Amino acid sequence: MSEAILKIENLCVSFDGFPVLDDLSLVVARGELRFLIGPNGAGKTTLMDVISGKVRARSGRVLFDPTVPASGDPHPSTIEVHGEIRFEGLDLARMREDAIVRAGIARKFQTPSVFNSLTVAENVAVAAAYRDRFLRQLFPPSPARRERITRALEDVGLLHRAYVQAGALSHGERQWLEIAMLLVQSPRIMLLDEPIAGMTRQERERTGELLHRLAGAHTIIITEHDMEFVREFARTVTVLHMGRVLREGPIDDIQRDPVVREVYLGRQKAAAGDAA
Amino acid sequence: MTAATARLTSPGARPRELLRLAGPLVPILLTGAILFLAPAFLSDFRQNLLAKFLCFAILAIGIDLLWGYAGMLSLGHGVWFGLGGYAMGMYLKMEDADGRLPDFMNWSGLTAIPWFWKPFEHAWFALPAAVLGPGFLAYLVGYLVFRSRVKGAYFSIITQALALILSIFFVGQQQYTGGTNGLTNFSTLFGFTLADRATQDALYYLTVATLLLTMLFATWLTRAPLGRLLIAIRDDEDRVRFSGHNVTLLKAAVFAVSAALAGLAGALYVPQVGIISPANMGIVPSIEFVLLVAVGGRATITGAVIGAILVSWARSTLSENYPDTWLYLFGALFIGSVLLFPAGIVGTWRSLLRHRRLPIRRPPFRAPSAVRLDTPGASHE
Repeated sequence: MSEAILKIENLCVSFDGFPVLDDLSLVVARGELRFLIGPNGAGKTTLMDVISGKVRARSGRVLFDPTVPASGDPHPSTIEVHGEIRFEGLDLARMREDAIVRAGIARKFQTPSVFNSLTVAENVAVAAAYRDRFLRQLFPPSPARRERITRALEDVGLLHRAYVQAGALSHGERQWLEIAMLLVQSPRIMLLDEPIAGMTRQERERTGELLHRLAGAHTIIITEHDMEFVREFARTVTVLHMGRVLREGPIDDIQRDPVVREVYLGRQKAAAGDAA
Repeated sequence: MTAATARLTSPGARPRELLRLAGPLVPILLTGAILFLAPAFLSDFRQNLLAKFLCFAILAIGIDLLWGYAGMLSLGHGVWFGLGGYAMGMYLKMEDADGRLPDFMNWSGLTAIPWFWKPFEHAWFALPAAVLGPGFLAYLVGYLVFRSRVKGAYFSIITQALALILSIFFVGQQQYTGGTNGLTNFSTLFGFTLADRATQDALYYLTVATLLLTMLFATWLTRAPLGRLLIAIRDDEDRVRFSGHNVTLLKAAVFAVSAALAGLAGALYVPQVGIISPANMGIVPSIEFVLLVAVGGRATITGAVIGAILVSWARSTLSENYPDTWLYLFGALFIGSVLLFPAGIVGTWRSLLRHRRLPIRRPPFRAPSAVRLDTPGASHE
């Protein structure tokens, strides 16, 4: 077992007294490609919100302080966060979201969020400049920086669309653009929230292959609803249920696990049966 | 296109590259040529009016950076304009008084010059203070406001409240600020008589030069990566935050730059118009400042300048010719132009050009030698 890069211990999060994450502990190893799965409301997105600093205790490790959510945030006003998230000696629960990104944890959101008025290349350039000082931003980027932007676009296959306004991209392309914005920062941990939602079959394949290529150099934590995709590309899977870790292990074991089948796969099967 | 993407264009595009760099300078050179020649065709009175409009143009560029690019609508820029103007006014008053008590202080019963007036007798203090003072204060206010993630309409309301509070405060402190009358009756600047034709000419050309430099500065700022970052903040502030940028500091910095430009405009305005009073810094002038940019076109530097000059010109022409009804006409003109041209004059002009040019595509993009993601089945993509 290689060394742990992210360690979450006894994490509890509740919104207005309603527990969303309940004493959750999770260890992710360096270079791992970890899938988080679980039924709706299992706490997958909330877990990412806490790691990336979107949901955060104002100060201290254990707090009862109501956090002011960013406007547009669907979360209710009283948020409690307990527990510890360790990354390279940092306690993420105490850090601001932009500081977390600069420390090396980048996040892609469930609904792709890119800058519609900027071109594809400019979107990636904004992400690439994340460590620049204010005055540095007044001058054109270095050739090395441009090379990295080109490479990130190449990686996701958007190079031929570099001058298109991001607002004109298809849903799948927007997903890739957001991934490119992460890639250009070469983060140590990438958090991907349902990156293949809305993609065609071909696009999914390409994304899955991209993920496999990136794992190793990057640690990737990814939530996914699409079980077909999970079966095809997942190695280690963590199943969340009711804010807890239900099972963790290789995808084959997880698929055979009767408890998992009951809470998750079974439910999907039932739904599929209903649909048929 | 920005410099950020320059590397992505083909190396054979050198002449086009030059054009891309020189293109934005054309409106600045054109503006400069017109404004330097204008006095030959204008009466002294009209030239003085134009100088006043140019001060508003400098301020409009600041508002454009803040609102047009970064998406923060300030309804209180009168504050920064006023502070810059008062700093200049205080210097002029001290110069006139020449060590004695400025006239209005005499009338209000003060016996000594207040301590905070003292430094303003030096030009080396007053002039930088007119620009850096508003900039620094705006940074402070901005930092506090943006740190608590106040944005959108709430930010506008706060800035408006600031304009109201400060103008009321200045009216109330008559012995220090001249009250409702403000600071006026200036006679000299650096020893030159303000009423002199030559002094006013010099001030006019100084204003033109300042405006051109401001345009140059703003063009550079918005074409640099920082300009894209501001637009990104306007588009999706949270995504910028989750890209690792400190949005609070960035927004505060832009607010500060915008306020500093307003202060600069105020400082140039006072010796040419001859008065600065709370009427220049309240809510009504603050909203009129925003109209300049709305009519001219947001997120274009030229638009801010054209808007400022045209709107101010319409305002003064209407008020001269229809002294009774001009406010209604002015209001109607504004409503009409915003309804008909929501993108502003320059924005509408640009979209017209774009439509005409539609069949012509942008330069072809260098085809990547291999798209590594491509699987055999997807290679046609």
